[in-house]
Amino acid sequence: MQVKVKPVSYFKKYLPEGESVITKELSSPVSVAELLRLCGFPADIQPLITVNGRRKKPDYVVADGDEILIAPPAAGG
Amino acid sequence: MGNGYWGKVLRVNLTDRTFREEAVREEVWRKLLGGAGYGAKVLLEETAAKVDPLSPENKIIFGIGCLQSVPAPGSAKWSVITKSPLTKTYLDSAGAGTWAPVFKRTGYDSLIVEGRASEPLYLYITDTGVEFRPAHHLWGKTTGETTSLLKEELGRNVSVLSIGPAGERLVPIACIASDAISFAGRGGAGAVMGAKNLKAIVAYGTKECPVFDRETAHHLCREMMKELAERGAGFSENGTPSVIIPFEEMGDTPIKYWTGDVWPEGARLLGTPHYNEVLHTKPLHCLHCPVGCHRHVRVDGPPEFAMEGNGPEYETIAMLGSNLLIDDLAAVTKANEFCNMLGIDTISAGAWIGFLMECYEKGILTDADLGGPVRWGDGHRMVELVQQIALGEGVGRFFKDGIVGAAKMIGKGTEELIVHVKNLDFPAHDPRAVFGLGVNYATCPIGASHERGDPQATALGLCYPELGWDEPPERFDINRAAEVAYIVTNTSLMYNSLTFCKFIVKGAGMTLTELTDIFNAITGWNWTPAELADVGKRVITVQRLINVRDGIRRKDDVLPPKMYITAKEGGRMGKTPAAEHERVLSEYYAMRGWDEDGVPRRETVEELGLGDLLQYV
Ligand code: SF4
Repeated sequence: MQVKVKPVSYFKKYLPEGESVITKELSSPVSVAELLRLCGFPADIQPLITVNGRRKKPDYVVADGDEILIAPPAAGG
Repeated sequence: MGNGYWGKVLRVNLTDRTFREEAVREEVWRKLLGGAGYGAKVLLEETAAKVDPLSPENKIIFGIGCLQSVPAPGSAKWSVITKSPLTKTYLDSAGAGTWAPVFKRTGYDSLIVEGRASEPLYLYITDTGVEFRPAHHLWGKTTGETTSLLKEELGRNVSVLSIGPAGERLVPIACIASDAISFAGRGGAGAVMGAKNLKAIVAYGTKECPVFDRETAHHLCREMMKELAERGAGFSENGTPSVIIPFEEMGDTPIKYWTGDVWPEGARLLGTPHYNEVLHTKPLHCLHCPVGCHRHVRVDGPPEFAMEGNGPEYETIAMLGSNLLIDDLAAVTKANEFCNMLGIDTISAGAWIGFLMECYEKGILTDADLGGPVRWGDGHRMVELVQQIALGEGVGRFFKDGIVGAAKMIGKGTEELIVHVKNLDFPAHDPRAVFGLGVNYATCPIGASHERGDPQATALGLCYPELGWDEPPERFDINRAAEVAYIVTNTSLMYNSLTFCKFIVKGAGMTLTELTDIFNAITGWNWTPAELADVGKRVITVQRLINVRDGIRRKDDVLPPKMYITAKEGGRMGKTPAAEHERVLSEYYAMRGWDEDGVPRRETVEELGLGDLLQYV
């Protein structure tokens, strides 16, 4: 199965050079938390997770074709 | 069947100490929801152009909406709407705490206060009506003392809005405190209360407002509370100080009163994780909040800064910290406490001190003018100046008419240094780092505000798939600057009318769809998320009509000179939206259906269903 991970804002710094999305092949379903670890994100980033336009928690188990948006909490003020 | 509205508001006249109920048609709520939308309509219809904000003729409205009829996450928010003593035009400011849901239970959808009391009093509003109670014993007291005394007098369960000495002394940046933990900070609504001799508004209600489907609404609220506690765990743990470091990296955080480009070492000392380490932080919750983004902190020393209580949040840390090159969190925390207790807006206080520091550095103001040196980075001096400003003493004398008044009084080219729109000081986000902020600040009905439109949040990832925004827009895309401001102003003004805390969306990750689901269970109106967001289009038009009546036009929708100067290094190096401001402004007006001078067109007002307001166009 294949999923896409798209970090936004300052989480883009965790992307490979010159890329805007990480495409990941998985042999079995994993949680978003595990997926982020596999993609090399630091453990403490506590992002807001949106999968195919819907908010999910880190324990959501990804499915083939999922597009996962990884954003920081955006409240400043 | 109910719809989350009582269908009536409470009108209180302080001059003759009377009150009465007034019916409001459902149609009004359907158009404007409540809060800042309803309040703007009242202000437009009931006050004359250019009414003196501190006169008995000015009105002050405390607006809530339908969300307060159930324990909805984020429903502790209320809006205060009045004419600002700072900008002399439309003002709304929002606070949270407990007041909104508690007031709703007294049986009203909003509170309109008019006239002026002959002597200090406070209002005690309950299920059975309003008592006008003497407040001589509270006059001169801080917001914290006032809140404690009133709770001792009336019981722990009452909810208290109050002003501090700054409001009593008519300082034009006086705020209103809610249970002394949350503050409607901007634009001087506290001075309007002070001018009316109104020290506090206490509410205690027990009635349950009918809603369309209570079972579903409560179920959704319960589920959302659990869900958001998990989604928002990071925000709860770190609060708004978590964005100090990333915003400094982006070039968004003010440094040295908008003249500095980078200050990573300062940001490291002011933001999380250092913030949590030195201040022993705990989350502090408003009523019905799964997050608790307010901070309870403790400063052990030095002795002059020791305290325990509310901690500074992003805006305050930036305006009283990096903006002044102060990296001492203990000083910032103490200054924040003084601002909260004496009752002033921390944003404008920080801006004003930044201006003084710049004037001192340039030799425009001297030791003799300022009672001693006022140097960048001097935390002790900053804490003193905050108190002078709050009490209208010492350097406070420069600011009787805000930052514009100070520049006029001082002269010597200082108009070039001040950073404001319509005399409201910039909050701690830089349009040069997020281009949508430029047109947003320039056109916001209250002056430069980051919460009536919050493009800075899009730079962190805020997006609305329900409104066709699957991804946050690029922050330097000048061709989308007007669109960014347009969308997030619509949503923000809708939130301020609901009344709803936007941090539940931005920080805890609630979606517009989830909010709309709760809204529909309450109202039974079966709206789409886009229909809900559309309310913002009406609200800003009503607010703009007040601006226009006060003489505000395109000529006033401008950016200050410093915004034309680009950074030499850092996250916004070489960038500014200011050079293209006029073009973006025209695009924005066109999106809103305003003419080239920024005046809402008659057909726009009609199309928005606001035909009853056509006489004001
Ligand atoms: S997110 Fe913060 S401001 Fe909003 S209701 Fe919760 S504690 Fe209050």
